Amino acid sequence: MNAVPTKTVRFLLVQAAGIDYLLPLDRVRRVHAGLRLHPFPGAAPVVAGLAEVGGEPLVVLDLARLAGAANSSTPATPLTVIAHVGPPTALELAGLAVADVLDIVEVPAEALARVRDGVVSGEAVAAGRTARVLDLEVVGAGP
Amino acid sequence: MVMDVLLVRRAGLTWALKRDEVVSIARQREGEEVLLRSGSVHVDAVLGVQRELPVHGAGPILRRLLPPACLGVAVVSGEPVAVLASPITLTAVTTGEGG
Repeated sequence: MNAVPTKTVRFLLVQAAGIDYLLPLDRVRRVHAGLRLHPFPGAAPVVAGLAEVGGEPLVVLDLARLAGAANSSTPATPLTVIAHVGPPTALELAGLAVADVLDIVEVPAEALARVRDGVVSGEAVAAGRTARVLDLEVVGAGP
Repeated sequence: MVMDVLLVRRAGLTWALKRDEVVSIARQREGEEVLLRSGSVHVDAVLGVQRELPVHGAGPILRRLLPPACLGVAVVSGEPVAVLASPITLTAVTTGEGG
């Protein structure tokens, strides 16, 4: 009898404010180090700042705040993950400020524990670490 | 969308104000005062005029996270710029009143 192939999902494992997060890899475009972030007065608290990448403006979000870490502060020299946010029919490019990019991991779909809390859609163990799964589709969808 | 703008510096960011709203500029003891058709705003520095600035309008998701008065974002000389729909809102935006 043949074993049924296990469906897996690929993620970028990152860390922000001391917490590990899994970003769906198909949403990630690239990672930038040392982007100069300019403060954006009047923007929502999840906005870490405004940057320039390849001659284009980029709104950068604080990933930890986006995920609900209330007292996080954007790392002084963050890495910026440039990713698509929003529903598949209306994707927008945004930066996500993180403290570190740890690995690319593959997680069996059945190993994803579903927990809905804002943009956090679940939890999984990846590369020996327990990480929160982020659903970038719902960024900006609610309060 | 392209706009003729006056670039100013305030609160650590470069802002673009619609050029045709600007009447005059007066140097102050600290910074400069930009006189508009609808009032005036104080800025840290006036950087100059930029003609036909290409403005990237924020999509519906990011628009919810930016100040309501922000029309979009742009880049000038490698620096990111926030573009305001109405220049008079600059004071409110940069003092946290949202504009």
